[in-house]
Amino acid sequence: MIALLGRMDNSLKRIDRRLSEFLRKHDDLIATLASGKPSRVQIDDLKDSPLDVVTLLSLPDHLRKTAMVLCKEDEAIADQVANKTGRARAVESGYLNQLCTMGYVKKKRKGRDVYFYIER
Amino acid sequence: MKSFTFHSYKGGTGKTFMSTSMALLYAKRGSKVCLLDFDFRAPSLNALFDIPRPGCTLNQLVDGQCEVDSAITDATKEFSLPGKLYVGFADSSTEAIGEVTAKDRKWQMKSLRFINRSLQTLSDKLELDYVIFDSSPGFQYSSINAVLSSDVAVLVTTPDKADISGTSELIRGVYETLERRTGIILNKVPAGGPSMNLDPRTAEKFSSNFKLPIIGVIPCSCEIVTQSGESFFLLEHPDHPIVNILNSTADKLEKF
Repeated sequence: MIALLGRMDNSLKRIDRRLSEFLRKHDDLIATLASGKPSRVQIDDLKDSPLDVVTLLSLPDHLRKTAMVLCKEDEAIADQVANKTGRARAVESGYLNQLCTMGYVKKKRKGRDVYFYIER
Repeated sequence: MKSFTFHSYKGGTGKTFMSTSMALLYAKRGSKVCLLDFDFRAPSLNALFDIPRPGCTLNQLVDGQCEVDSAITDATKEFSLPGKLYVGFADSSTEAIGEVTAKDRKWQMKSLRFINRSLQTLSDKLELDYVIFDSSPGFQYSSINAVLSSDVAVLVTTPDKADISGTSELIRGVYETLERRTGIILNKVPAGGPSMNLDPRTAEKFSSNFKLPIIGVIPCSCEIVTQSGESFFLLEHPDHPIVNILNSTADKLEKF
């Protein structure tokens, strides 16, 4: 009985991992489509770009505001960023996904929430 | 807790004088203050504070090698201050300065996170009133990181023409873009007589170069220059006219 429960537990963990991976790819695909379908080469070129102060200064004003919130937080959902910037959640979600596509920000799913963070 | 970064376009404008003066004045008034030497290219506080050194340097702190409480030391007793004064030192060895200069953008980005975390710790654990960064002049990563982490940036400038024009560019290119709350301290402004009276027209002439609020106008004093590094001017000469001006500058900065 214990062995059976152990096998079931392992299976559930595998399903959970695959589902998380699927959701991550799904979000990436939506972001890519929303941002005007950049080519694979462009995405790879921008992958893991550091979001340092020089980069911050070069970003357009609307994206800089969003990025500066993430610079101060370890991770945040679009709602939390919107609370800091005073802009709508949907707007921040769009900007955060744009920063993701540009390679400055990463995201991960925790349950129903998508957390955005800067990989350092 | 409120954090200030003292910055300038050129070197020698009096950032260290102003940041140490503000830290000492606030601690004299009973506040809990932490003064951090963020001028990693030319650290100064090592020479000014003859007190036991903390376990690690600020270089190690921004590299994520230690926590902020082991990078600062309590200097309150040395100066018999009613408040608290903590000081953090940068490594002044040539090797350390060379190492900081060679760091890449990714490292600088990481260090920004360590600065923000340290500020959080200083606020939560030590319940500080003020954190004051004394930064490197010009467009240096460590300085802009400190500016980005602080609540208020204080640009210290002199009547020097190149300094005024460079400071204006720094405001346009960095401060306005980063939307930092910024004030100006005009230092070394020519003044007449032993009472250090500033000609309002002279002060106005320099202030009009900037659109930002002027927090203080400090007259030029040979006494400060000759005593620089030997002792803390405001502790040695508490009744000097310049100390009165520094006190009113501290008042303005507090409310800024």
